[in-house]
Amino acid sequence: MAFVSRRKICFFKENNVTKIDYKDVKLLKQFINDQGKIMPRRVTGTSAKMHRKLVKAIKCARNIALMPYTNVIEN
Amino acid sequence: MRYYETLYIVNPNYEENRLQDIIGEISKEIEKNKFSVINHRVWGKKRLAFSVSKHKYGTYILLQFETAEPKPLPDFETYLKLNKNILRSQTVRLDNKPEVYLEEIRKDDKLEPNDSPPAITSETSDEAVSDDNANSEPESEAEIEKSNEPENVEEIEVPETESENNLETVPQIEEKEEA
Repeated sequence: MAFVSRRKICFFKENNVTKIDYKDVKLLKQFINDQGKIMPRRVTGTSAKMHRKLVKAIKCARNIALMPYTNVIEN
Repeated sequence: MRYYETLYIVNPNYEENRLQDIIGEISKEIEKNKFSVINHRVWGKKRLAFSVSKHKYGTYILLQFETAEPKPLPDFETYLKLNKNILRSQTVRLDNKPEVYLEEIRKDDKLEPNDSPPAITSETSDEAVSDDNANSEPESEAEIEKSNEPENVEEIEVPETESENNLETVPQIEEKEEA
């Protein structure tokens, strides 16, 4: 089987989302990993424009304690 | 006119009467600064993502207002900061005028988004689950690729049918075929 490169499609373009609300924690949580870090664009496939907005929204949500800055996993 | 949205956290141990008092206090402060309130309501008691001044929970109150003169805004923010009942606050400027909150409208809004998100959440939750299970990247990426396979079949079909929307992509494909 030949390797076929698959293009990831921006989540927000697919769903025609142009604005990201920082209060929408359910949405934002999809773009952080279990450590609470923002996932890179190469993993999520979001467009550069929307990723910039997404990062701002996540940081806003962190400021008001809706989302974690860090999520330390206790073993 | 500029539109602003302030979200502030109040001590979770306060009862409704005291909450209403605090809301009254703040709306008085808003009147002082000649802001006009659009919405001012309790958003709900939520678990905080991290402890804020040793509180694990907090009552979120959402305030949306409009003003022609944003000059007294820093004063208002410092007032919120100095207010002992408020754990934390954040003011954000809005691009458009927010809708007036009505409970009936809210119920309709809740129904509409629920129709579309389930599919989305399932996709992304797969990624999240894979990340949880496998810390090493290659495994998780492989899983994501597997999950994407059925979608890609649809993607390929799209440019053929909707040629108007994908004018940019179509010529490239033709060139490849010629070559």
